[in-house]
Formats: sequence, structure tokens, C-alpha cells
Amino acid sequence: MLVPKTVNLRAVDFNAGQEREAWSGRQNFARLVVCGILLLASILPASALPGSGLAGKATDGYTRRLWQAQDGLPEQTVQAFAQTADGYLWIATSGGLVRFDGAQFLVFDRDNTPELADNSVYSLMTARDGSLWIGMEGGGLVRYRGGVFRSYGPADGLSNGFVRAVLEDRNGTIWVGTDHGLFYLAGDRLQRFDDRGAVPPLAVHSLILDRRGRVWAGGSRLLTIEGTSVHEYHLAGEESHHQIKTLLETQDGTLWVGTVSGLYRIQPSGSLQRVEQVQGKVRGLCQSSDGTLWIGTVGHGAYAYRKDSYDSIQTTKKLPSNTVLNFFEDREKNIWIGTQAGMVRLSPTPVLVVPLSDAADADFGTVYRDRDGSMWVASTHLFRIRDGVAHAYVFPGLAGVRVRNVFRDRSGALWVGSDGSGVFRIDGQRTRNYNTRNGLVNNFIRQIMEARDGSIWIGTDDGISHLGAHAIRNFQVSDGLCYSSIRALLEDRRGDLWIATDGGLSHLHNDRFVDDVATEELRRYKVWAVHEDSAGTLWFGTRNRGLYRLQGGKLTHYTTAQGLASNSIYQILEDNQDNFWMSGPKGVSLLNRRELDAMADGSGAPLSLTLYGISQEIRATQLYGGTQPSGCRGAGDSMWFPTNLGPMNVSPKQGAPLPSPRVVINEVSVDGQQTSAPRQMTLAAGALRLEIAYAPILLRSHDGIRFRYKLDGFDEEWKDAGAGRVAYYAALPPGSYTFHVAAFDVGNPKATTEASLPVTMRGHFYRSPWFLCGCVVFLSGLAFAVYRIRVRRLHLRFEVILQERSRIAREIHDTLLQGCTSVSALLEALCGMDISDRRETRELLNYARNQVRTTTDEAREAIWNLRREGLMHNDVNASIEKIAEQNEEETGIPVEVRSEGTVFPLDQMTAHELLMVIREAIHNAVRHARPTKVHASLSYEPGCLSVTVRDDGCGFDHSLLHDEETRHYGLLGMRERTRRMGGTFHLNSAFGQGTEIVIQVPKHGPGEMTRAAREAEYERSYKD
Amino acid sequence: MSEATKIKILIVDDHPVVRIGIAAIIDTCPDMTTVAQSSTAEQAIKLFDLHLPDITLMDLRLPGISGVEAIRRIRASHPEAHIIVLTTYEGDEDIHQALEAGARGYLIKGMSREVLIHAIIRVHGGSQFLPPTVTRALEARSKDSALSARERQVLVLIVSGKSNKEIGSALGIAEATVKCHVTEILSHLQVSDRTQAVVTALRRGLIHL
Repeated sequence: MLVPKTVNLRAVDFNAGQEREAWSGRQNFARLVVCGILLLASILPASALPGSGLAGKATDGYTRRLWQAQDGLPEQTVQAFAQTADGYLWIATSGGLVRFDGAQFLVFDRDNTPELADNSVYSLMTARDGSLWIGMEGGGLVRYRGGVFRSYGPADGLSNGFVRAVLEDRNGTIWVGTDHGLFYLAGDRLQRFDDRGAVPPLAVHSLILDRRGRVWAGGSRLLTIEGTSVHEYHLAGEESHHQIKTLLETQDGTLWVGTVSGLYRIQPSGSLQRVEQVQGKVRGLCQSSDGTLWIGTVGHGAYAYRKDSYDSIQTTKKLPSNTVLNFFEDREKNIWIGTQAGMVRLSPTPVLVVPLSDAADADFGTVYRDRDGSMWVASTHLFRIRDGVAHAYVFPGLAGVRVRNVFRDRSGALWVGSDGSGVFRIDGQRTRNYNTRNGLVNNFIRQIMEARDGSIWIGTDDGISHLGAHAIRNFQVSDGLCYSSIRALLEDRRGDLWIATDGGLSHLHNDRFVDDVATEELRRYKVWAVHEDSAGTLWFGTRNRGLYRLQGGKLTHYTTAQGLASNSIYQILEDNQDNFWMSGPKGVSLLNRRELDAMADGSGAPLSLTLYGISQEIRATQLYGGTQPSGCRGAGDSMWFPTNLGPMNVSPKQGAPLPSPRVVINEVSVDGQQTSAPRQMTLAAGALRLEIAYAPILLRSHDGIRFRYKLDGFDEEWKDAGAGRVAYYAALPPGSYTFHVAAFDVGNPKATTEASLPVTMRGHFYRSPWFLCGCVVFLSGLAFAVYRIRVRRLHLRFEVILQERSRIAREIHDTLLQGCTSVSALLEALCGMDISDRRETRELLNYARNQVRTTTDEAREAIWNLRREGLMHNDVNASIEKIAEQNEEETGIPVEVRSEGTVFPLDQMTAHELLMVIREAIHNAVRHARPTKVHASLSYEPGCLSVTVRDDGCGFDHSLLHDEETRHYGLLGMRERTRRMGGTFHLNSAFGQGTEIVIQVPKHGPGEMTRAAREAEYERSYKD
Repeated sequence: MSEATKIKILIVDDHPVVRIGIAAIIDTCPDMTTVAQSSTAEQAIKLFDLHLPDITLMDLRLPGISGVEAIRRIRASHPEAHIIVLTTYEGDEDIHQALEAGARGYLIKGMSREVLIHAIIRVHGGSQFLPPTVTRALEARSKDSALSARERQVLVLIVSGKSNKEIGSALGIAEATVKCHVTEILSHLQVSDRTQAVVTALRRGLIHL
């Protein structure tokens, strides 16, 4: 706990300079003395604010970029900045919290983030654990960590919602300064630190940590907190003037105190000074890594303090508003300035523009370095820059002449090309004018060039003139020149003249125009630059066709496809390190000539290129080309190019190669349906258009950032996206893919960073493998089922055939075979008998006759059974009636058939056997008993059928039956058949009383049984 | 020839007319006499014990106990019993079974009277009697055609037209086991499918309808 139990509050009265507390540490802050308002005014050199053409020294070395509400900021007022570990810049605005990746704003406000109770965000702080602490103006405190917002309000102990400052001390304690109270975070609750014990209530506007680890709290009072010790420091003067707005400790140990009444500095020695150069209420203080102290004021713009000089940065030139609220330096060394009218980024740049107010009015611009190092800059007016200061210059006698270009020949004479007045040669006091009147081809001068022999070539809007020692010689289209409007001239090391025009390239060899591969290839192209490199290779820059290289008769072409920044090339310069500096509409690109050479020789290495952007000012910057010299070398390796704002100087510092930016996949759109920052994408079947948007997180200019992407599983190779930030795919086949995007800086193309996104394209269910598999399985199943059904049918047919075959076999055996073998036995017996024994033979013949008849009937039945299968089931009655009819016909003895009860069908075998038995019974009756009438009655009872065959014949003695068994084989057969049906057989007979046979068969007979089954049935019945 | 020296013959056949015919043939021979007739195997065994016939003419197809079984049982108690099979079957398995059971002769029904009498005399004289058709059938019988009891059961069910599954459930064994048996049966019968198996089994007398 940090509760100041033993409050050790000791006040130091700076005004008195009296030391009441001995301070430990190397710096003796105890000697801080509130400075008299004007005490140091005379000591500090009053730095004259730049009033010359070179105004704005403070921002020299930086490119500037402005963002305002129309650029995507929710509101104009930008209060604070912070940068999180992932590289994003967080911006506190009065209209919400904004995340910025260098190009796009993502706004968090009350509408989309309920944790943000107020839209006005005032303070930001990134803690060491990666959390972003957000202080709101009225809405309390919010912590953002891992994508989650957590708000702290009165319920969490934060009794005031105006959070002006948040600080993490060395122990990791979070301090929160509000309009009414200083709090610190204990656990998950905020504890009030002030207004307890001896610590008075505080309004806190600024919290900083000094290098000793002390927390400084500034606001209504100025305190230091070190453990439980609290010290207060008094600033002299009226209390209301010393309302502290901001605090800063610079690298030298000086403490800067911004108040409503101005800026104060407290030296390590303890002396306190008011900074008189800074006017207005000081709101923002920041020291950038180059040591510059940035001071923001309300109403008086900003100041940059370095090398003991306070440079004012005012609205007119550099800032959108004179109320500057805050500064921030990001990890890429950009300086961010929050103002009341948007924010400004200052990016370190080797580019310096010497502003010339009227340069923009001209349609041309040239820059020429004279032998004394001064620069001649011509556009609307002629300027001479000497020692970094530009002065308007008028040559004596040339007032009113609009100068296009200046050139000094080896003799020291100065040549001045004009816009309509020809060319002037100024040698000391003598000025000579060459114009159309005295032989010049045209009065509008594009270029002045000295040949090896000291003669002068003049390029004009209508041809070229050669000013020899004795005469002027002109070359025009009529002389073989390819086009009239001249853009550049060059004499190569062989003495040939190359003439670049707006309509092609001409090659003058020994005063004769010749054609070669270059003039042929560049016919009718706008050629604006010609350069011969140190190796004698010729280079041609065109207005919109890229760069050509001519070496040994071989022409090589380079465009943006090969990595150029632009296909427009205004000027080609070469430094001592074989680097080419090429200007164009997008700025100046620096690339190594050896890489271009290697490419011409077939090497595929990508070009490294450094682009010096031209977002130099709030206004757009335009480079000039087409009038020479449209660029020249300056001192050292610095290069000058004309722009519409004035000449631009590029002097690169050799530094570490640019780090490659982190790239993230921002948004995926499927047929217009957008998803933000997905981890993976699954596309529904039939999805047609896939767009993947990605972006770098890069706070500096994105000009040099290039991308390439590849969809693994679809693209064979990486696709060059250039600076494009969306990858499009259409009608992907179903499958799994991984999208990769790589980002790199053209200045260091080998260092790339990558992001990836798994993408799954679902197929229509009817095209998915599982479905096809399912189909195959289903069809196989179906085929198998069909096969099974067929097999089953075959089985059934087989069974039917087998049963039928069995039945026929059995029938033949039981009827024909049995019958034939019995008759055969009888006949065999008869053969061996004494023919005279008539009784014996007649008996046997009778048996044989009967047997043959029976067999015939049985065989007929068997066939009949075959033919009328099924009919038998229902028609036992009809069959019996038929037998009765047949019998009556043959014997004349009537057979009466009766049926009672509900008729039910019998199975085939039972019906057959039953009919056989009944027929036998009727036959026996008719044959042996000599009756007058036979009765056959069928009684269908529940569960069984009773058949009674009764005759009124002679009858026989039943008791004799057993002995006579062999003679009455018919009875035996009937019994056996009945048993086979599972039925019962009864015979009643007596002499003179007729015979009655009663057969009972069960409704559900033994069924169609095999012989084996029947045997089993028999076995059972025998056991009974 | 006195009654005592006559060859005593027992006729076993379930068809009365056959019995009458056979008895009539025998009775034409002065040195033979029919001592008893039976329509079932059970009765035949009893009558054998009662009459102790010199020759028994035994039909194989009988209601209840089969003729082969009757031969076995009679031979068990009367090893000297001379039994001649008189049947309509001429499958090698029937012949084999019957001979194995102890039959001394094998006659196919529909034979001539002379053959019957000759057969009775031969067998009564202690010889065997096998007509040429029977001998040929025996010779054709392959050595390894013996089926196990289970295989025979399976074969019976195949003949009745049952599927493997039905056979399995009827015998209380797995369908896979049935398949094994069927494969064995097909290989034993030297046939390639079930229909051929049925035909062959019926022809050879392995199974009777």
C-alpha cells in the first residue's frame, strides 16, 4: 500500500531559495529556484524567428502530413497519442479513441464500445504489460488489453471522471490524475492518494516519472512522490498563473513545467527560469530522440527548442491550428502533433525544400549548380541560393527576361536561356544575345550544353542550334531531326550527340542523323532524359514508357513491372556510388545502377529502390521535368530537383535499412459480406467473390511499401500486388487454402513480413467427397440389395424347383415305381406258378389289375396335382364329388357327398393324401361290399376335418381283419396315408351291417415335409 | 422237401402288393417258404426274433426306422442273419450303408424272379450277391465322400431348399460355420454349387426325399 501513513510532506519555497530539505541523488533539485520572470531573458540568445525564404527550420528534415476530420478523424481535436506493442498508434480525440495503422482509422466510441462512457478521450498511456490506459474527460478510466475494454468508475473508487493523466511507476503501480484527486490502482480498485493525512487535495493535469524513479504530479500543485515521501514545490507568483498543464524531464535532467502562464525550466542545479520565448499557455511538451524539445501552446502554435534556439512553428506554414495540444514520437521516429484542427505527422526525411513562394506559378523549373557552389533556380523568377539562402536575382540588362535556365561554360562565361528571348552569353561585363534574328533556331530555350570542343549546343522548342566558333548551325525536322520540341541533349564519350524530343530520339553522328536500335525503339515516344553513366552505357528516360538502357547495341527496357517507382522519368543523375537518382511525378527514386545492369544481363533479383516522397508540405508537391537542367548534383552526394514549391534537396544519410512493416489482414469480404480481422475464413458453397484486404501497420509514409500475395493451394506463385491492398479471387474450387501476404519496403525488398489466413471453400454438398462416398456406398448398397433380392429370388425359385422336383421324384417313387415294382413282383410270381391253380392265379391277377389301376390313378393325380396346383387347397369337396361322379359312372352305384361346417382349405399334400384315402375307401366299398349306395360326408369342424365313408354293403368281421391283413392291403395303405397326414383312421364293420370308415385330419396338416422331416414325425408318433 | 428244411424267409416292405408278389414268387419255390411279412422295421425286428428266418428281404424305405437301421439292429442281436436288401434305390451311398450295416445281398426292385431266387440261394449258401449295376455304383463311389453327421444334416437342409442363415438357425450354429460345412460338402461331392450338390446327393443316396 502506498497510503502515505507517515507523510513526509516538505515544501520547498523556490522563491526564497531556501533549502528546507536535503535531496539525495546526483542532481540537486533542492536548489530549484523559481525564476524571476525576466531573469534569464538577457542570458538566452533571442533567436530570431526565421523570416527569410527558409522559414520553418524547426521542421527541416521532416516530411509533413496532415490528417483532419475529412481524412477520417472522428473530430478535429487531438489530445494525446500512444503506441502499443503491435505498432498501432492510438489517438485520443474529443470524438473517441482512434486506432491508426498509418493509413486507416478505426474509431472506438460510445456507440460501438459501451465501456467508453464518454467520447472525449484526454490521456493515453501504454503500460509495460501491454495494456493501454485511456483517460476520459468525464468518462473515467478504461483499460484496453487483449482486445477487451474494462472501465473504472466511481464503483471502482474513481470518484472523479476527468482523467487528465495516467502513469505507471517503476513498481508497476498505475497512477491516475484527475481534476479532483490523485489515485493509484491497488488490486483492481483505485485508491485516493491525496486529501489524506498531510497531502492536500489535488487537481492533477500531468504525471511524469523522472529518472530517479520519482513520480511528479502537476496540476493545482507540484509534488513529487517517492515511496511514502511526498514533497511539494511552490512556484512563485499568483496561484492561478501556476496551474500546471504539463511536465517533462529532458535528457539533460532539466525539468520543464508548462503552465497556464507559460513555460518554466528547472535546471538540475535547481535554478528555475521562465522561458520568455514561448508565449501562451503551454499544453504539450515532448522531447524527440534527436534531442529537440517540442512545445505546444494554446493559441501560439508550437516551438521546437534545439541548440539553444526556440523555433516557432505557426499555422501559416506548418500547422493547421495554433493550438497545439500534444506531441508524441513513435518508434519509427515520426513526430506526431495533436492540434485543435487535426494532427500532423513529421517524418524524418533527407529531403529539404527551399521554398520559393512563386515557383508554383511557372510551368517549368530548372536548377543549376554554379562552380562556386551557389544554385541557380529558375521558374517564375530566377533565384540564386547561396549559403542556404535564396535571393531573387536579375542579371544586369536582362530585367523582364524570363529565365529558363542558366549554364556556365568552361571558359567561365555564363549562358542564360530564356522563355522567348533566345540565349544570352554573359562574359564579365559583355552580354551577347543569340536569337532567331541572328541565326538561332528558336527563342524558347530548353537546354544549353557545351561540347567537348567548347562549342555550344542549344536545344529549343523548335530544333537545335550549334554555336560553333564561327557560325551557328541549325538542325530541324526538315534536316532529319525526329521532332521539333527538344527535351534533353547529351554528347556521349564518342562525340555523338543524342537529342531527346517529345517525339522520339535522334542520334547525330558526324553531323549526320543515324538510326539505331534506340532511335528505332523510341520512335515517337516522349524522351525527357538522357544520361551516360560512368561505364559509357546510355540511359533514356521517357515521359510514360519507363527507362531504356543502351549498351553494346542492346536495348533493355525497365518499367514499374521491373520495380521502377514510376514510368515517368524526368531526370537521371548519378552519384559517386553508382546510384541513379531519377526524378518523376511521384518523387525521386534512388536505385543502384549495378542492379539495373544485372537485370539487363538476365538476373532476376528485384530492384531495391528508395523513394523520396514529396508529401513535403500541406500542399501537394510537383516535380518539374522537360526543361534542362531538371536536376543537378549538389555538394557531396546531395541532389537537387526543381519543384513547384522551390528546389528540393535530397541528402541521404547512410542508415540502417528500413525495417519491413508488419502486415495484417484487415478484412475479408465474401460476395460483399465483410468480416473484420478474421482468424480463418470458411466460405459457403457457391461463394463467388473473395476479397482479402490487408495493410501494413506503419506509421511512416506507405509510399515505398509493396505487397505480394499467394493463395496456397490455388496460386502457383506469388502475385505481385504492387501497392495494392486487396487480393481478389473468384469462383474458387472447394478445398482448403492458406492466403499469404508479404509486405516489404522497396528500399529493402529482401526483408519481408508475412501474414496468413486459412481459407476453406466449402463445396456444394453434392460435390463433397463424403457425399460422393455416400453415393458410392448407397449405390453399392443398392446393387448389393438388388443382388441379394435376385439371389433370394433364385433361391426361392430354386426352392420351388427343388420342391417340385422332389415332389415329382416322390410321386414317381410312390406311385409309378411302387406300383410297377409291385405289379412286377406279382407278374414274376405268376410266371413261376402252376397255371392250373386258377384260384391262386386269379387272385394275383386281380391284385395286379387293381394295382395297375391304382397306379394309373395315382399317376394321373400326380399330374393333375401338377397342373392344378393350388386348386386342391380349396376344393376337396369338388374333387370328392368328381371321384363320386366317376365312380357312379363306372359302377352304377350312387355315391352321395355331403358337406357341413365352414369349408377351409387344406394344404396340398394333406388334400392329396386325403383324396387318395377317400377314393380308396369308395373303391373298396363299391368293389367288395356290393352296396346299393355309398355316403361320403365331410364335416369341417374347428381345427379338423372329419370324413366319413359309409356303405350299406355286406360288411365284414372286424375281428378277422388282423389275420387277413395281408389280403386287405388297401386298408393298410389308407391307415398309413392317414398317419402321414397327422390324422386318425377308424373302421367299423360287421357282417350284414355295412362298413364305415372315419378319417380325421388336422386343419393345419404336417405341411410340405421332406422325407427326413416326415421320418421324424413318424418316429414321434411311434413313441406315443 | 419238408417245411423244416425249407429256406425260411422274412419279407419286409411297406407296400402290401410288393409283399404279396414277393411272397408269391417265394412260394413258387419248393425249397423256400415265407415265414413272415412286415410293413415296418420295428415289426420286422420282432418277427425276426420270433421266426429266426434264414433270409430276410429288407426294403430300405420304411416308415419310421429305416431299413438300414433295421439291418443293423437285427445284425446286432443276430450276427449270422442273412439279409438281402430289396429296394428301388441304387445310389452308392445306400448300397454302401446297407452293406456296411451287414446286408449280404442287394437287389433292385423290378428284378426277375430268377434273380431273386438266385440271390436267396447264393446268400443262404454264404455268399454275397451284388448285381452288376450295384457293383458299378460301388466302384464309382469316391473314397473320401464320407460326410460327417453334421454335414449330412446340413445337406438335408440344403436339399429342402434352406438358405445358410435358415440352416444356421435350424441347427443353432453360426452362418459362417454353415458356410464352412457347405464348402466341405461341395468339395466332398465334387460339385461346384448347391443345386448340383442336391442332385448328386439324391442320386447317390446320401439323402432321400
